[in-house]
Amino acid sequence: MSFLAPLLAVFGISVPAILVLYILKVRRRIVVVPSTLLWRTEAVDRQASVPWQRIRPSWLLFLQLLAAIALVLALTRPALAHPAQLGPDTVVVIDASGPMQATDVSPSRFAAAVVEARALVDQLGSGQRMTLIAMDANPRVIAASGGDHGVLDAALSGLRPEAGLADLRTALALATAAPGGGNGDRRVIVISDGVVDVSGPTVTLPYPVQYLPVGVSGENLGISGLTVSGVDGSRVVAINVTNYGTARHATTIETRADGHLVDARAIDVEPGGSVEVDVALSGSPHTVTADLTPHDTFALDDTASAIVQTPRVIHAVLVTPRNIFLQEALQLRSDLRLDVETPAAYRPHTGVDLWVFDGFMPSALPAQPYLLVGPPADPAIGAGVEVRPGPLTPASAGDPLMEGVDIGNVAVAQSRDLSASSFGRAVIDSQAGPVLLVRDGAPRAALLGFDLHDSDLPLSPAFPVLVERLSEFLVPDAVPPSPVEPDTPVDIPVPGGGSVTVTRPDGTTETLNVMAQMGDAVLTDTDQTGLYTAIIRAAGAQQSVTARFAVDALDPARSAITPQSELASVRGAAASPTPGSRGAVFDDLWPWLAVLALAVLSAEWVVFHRGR
Amino acid sequence: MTSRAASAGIAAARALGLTPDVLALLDHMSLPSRRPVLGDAGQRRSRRTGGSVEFADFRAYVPGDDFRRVDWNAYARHERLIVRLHSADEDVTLTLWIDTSASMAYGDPSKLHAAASLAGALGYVALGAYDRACVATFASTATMLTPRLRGRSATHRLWLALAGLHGDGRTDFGAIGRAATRTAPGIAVIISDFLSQPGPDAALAALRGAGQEPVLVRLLSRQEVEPDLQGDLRLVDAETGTAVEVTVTPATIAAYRSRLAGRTDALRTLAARHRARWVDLASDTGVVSAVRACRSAGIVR
Repeated sequence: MSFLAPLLAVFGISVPAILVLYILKVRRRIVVVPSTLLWRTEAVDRQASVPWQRIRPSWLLFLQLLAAIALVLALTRPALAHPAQLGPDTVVVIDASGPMQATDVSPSRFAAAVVEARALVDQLGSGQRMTLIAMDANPRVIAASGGDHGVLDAALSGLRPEAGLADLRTALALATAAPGGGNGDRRVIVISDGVVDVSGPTVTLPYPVQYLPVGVSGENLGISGLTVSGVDGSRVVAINVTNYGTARHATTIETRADGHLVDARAIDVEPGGSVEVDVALSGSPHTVTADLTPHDTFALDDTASAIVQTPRVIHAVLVTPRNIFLQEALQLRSDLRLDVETPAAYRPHTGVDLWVFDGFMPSALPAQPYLLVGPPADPAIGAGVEVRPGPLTPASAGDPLMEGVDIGNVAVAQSRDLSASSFGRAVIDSQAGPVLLVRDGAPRAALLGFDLHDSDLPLSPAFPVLVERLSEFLVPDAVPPSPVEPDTPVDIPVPGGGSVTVTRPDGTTETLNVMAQMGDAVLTDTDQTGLYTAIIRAAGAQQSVTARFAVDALDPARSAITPQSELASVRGAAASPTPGSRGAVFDDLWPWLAVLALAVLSAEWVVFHRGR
Repeated sequence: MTSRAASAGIAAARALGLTPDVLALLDHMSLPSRRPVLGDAGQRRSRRTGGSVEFADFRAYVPGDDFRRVDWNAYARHERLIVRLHSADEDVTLTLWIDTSASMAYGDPSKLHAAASLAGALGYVALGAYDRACVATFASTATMLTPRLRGRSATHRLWLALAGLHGDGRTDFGAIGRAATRTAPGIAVIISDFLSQPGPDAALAALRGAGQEPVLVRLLSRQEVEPDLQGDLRLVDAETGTAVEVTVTPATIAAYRSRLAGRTDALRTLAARHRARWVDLASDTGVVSAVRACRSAGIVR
């Protein structure tokens, strides 16, 4: 025990003062009475002539001394000390990812983490600051550096666990970048189960990092895959169930089609093993849901859904004198039906999903999506004279159109000068300007500036991939055809702009407005697992289009919920005390002593008045 | 008695509260005798035979008998000396013992004044009934203020003696015991506050041994019955000068009352043991009420 205000112990003089008051005789008024016979009491010794008297046992004296001692002790602020977890500037990272929804600790790992965080907030003393960071798939600061307990508690109260996997690397980057850590006094405390995405090199922080683990068990049985194959009348649902724990588990898979139970099957799954269950579907259901019953401590991966898709067929028309490379690349898509025409035979007509013009420029561009390859010089599309582009480079890093497309060794002899073109945004650039432009809006279009025969691109592995990407861009799916992971942004194409109203599995809705130049809506709030419904209203369209997609927690990295005893791939500086930081935190005891003093004084008041 | 002395006596009676109305009330009272008393010839019949004319009995002559009481007619018939016995008519001597210690000077009116008034009234009753009365005071010592008075004309002397009392000294009931043998047998009324130690136990025994019928009249002031003290006090005894330091609280007052009740019970028990009558009065009671209280106790009738 420590005393935070030891100098105030000087008020302890009140204890002997009380005793002196009891020892000293009071100055009494002298009254002559006929006889003192009836006034004589047992206190004969009070009649001594000395100015003091012997202290006699008295409840009043005892209670007054007890109250004085309690008050003096309260003034000296006795406190219980325990090692400090907090520094002058503390960043607390709270894991709010999907695995934290596990209930192996009551009521959940996330709730336990919040309790730990509140305990840290309670330890926060004057002059200390704390930053709270929520760590899920998209880490964010929920309370900036400050010492207001109310603000910190409110931030913790408003925090909810998401479904995604924790991004520890980004969370630590936020912790490093948070203001106030300039003088090296920062401490980072991570409250997590350790089930985080730690791929990549070890992260080294200049601050001490303390890991407070939560969770006790990694036993979990989850759905790791759900696919629907076949055609109407003979569809088959393949359900994969994986045991991520260390013990054998039994469960029952209930399969529902459009909400109706079609199959229930008991299975046993070995530790670390998987079991695939195939369920035949009759009729033409639209949705399929698989459910493990009863749910275990991690319910997020106990349910998965899928949309029963009818494969669409894209009708594409290639208008070319002859280009076997382009024809072969387009025909690689199984869902694409390709017709080939010569420029002379070209006639605009409906029923075409995608036009591909090779070395040919129609007098009027079609209303459907189209791809122009090696067009003639035409000011309408900004195609100028022939230039030598030199080495090709992606116009912007991370462009989805260039994913898996390696153009580093591709050589192009000559290309149309597109540097002055306003056709669209550049995807592939060169020293002489862009060579591939794409345009969002309605209709979508792409412009490749060179003739494939003037390049070795058709011979490179990048070519069929590029054609695949371009065709997907030009004729996109309305919604993802297969389930997406929680907290994954979902693109909903709305060519020409309009609005999308999304209904989530819990019934809540969100309307996204899309500008014409954007071309698609991005739904980011996909933390709920289950079936989503999107009603797409294109600008100027008479009717809306309804699309459905599923969000399933199938990622094994999320379902492997075994708590980690230490954070891998993270290294912090030594947690040595720094100047200005305290080595311990104190739990003040003075409020309890004050209450004791008040109670004793109340008792003293009662004793005094009963004795009057 | 001169007329001047009579006027002084009347003034003393007024000072004692014995107005003509009170005296008229007392004229109808007399002293009882609860048991036979020995005395000289007087108004009261005695079981002791004496020299009165009323025949009572015969008995054989024994040497020393008065020859004048020998019945010679009986000697002639029986040739034996037989003495005639007659009943003795004796009066009662009322001895009024008044505590004149310093403590009796307290109260409003003072206990000593109330004691003198009551003694004046009782003396008037005794003298008016042709009994004898005398006044004695006691504090540290006993003093016989008057001789045994007799007759209504002696009341003025008795009142004059009572009107001049003042309180001083310490109470010593032993003084009564020492003087008891010098008083005539009769009724001894001790008027005191009895607030001293030792108590009147020895005095009562001495009075009874001297043929006195003791009566205890306790007089307390209203302030002693209901103390109005408060706070931290140093109480000084008026007689002994000793001090007691007390913090007067309701609890202290309650304890005082309890001790007063205990003291009263002890005195009442003591009186019963000595076959003495007991009267408890307050100094502000008034002489008429005090006399009535004495009549209720059988001291007067």
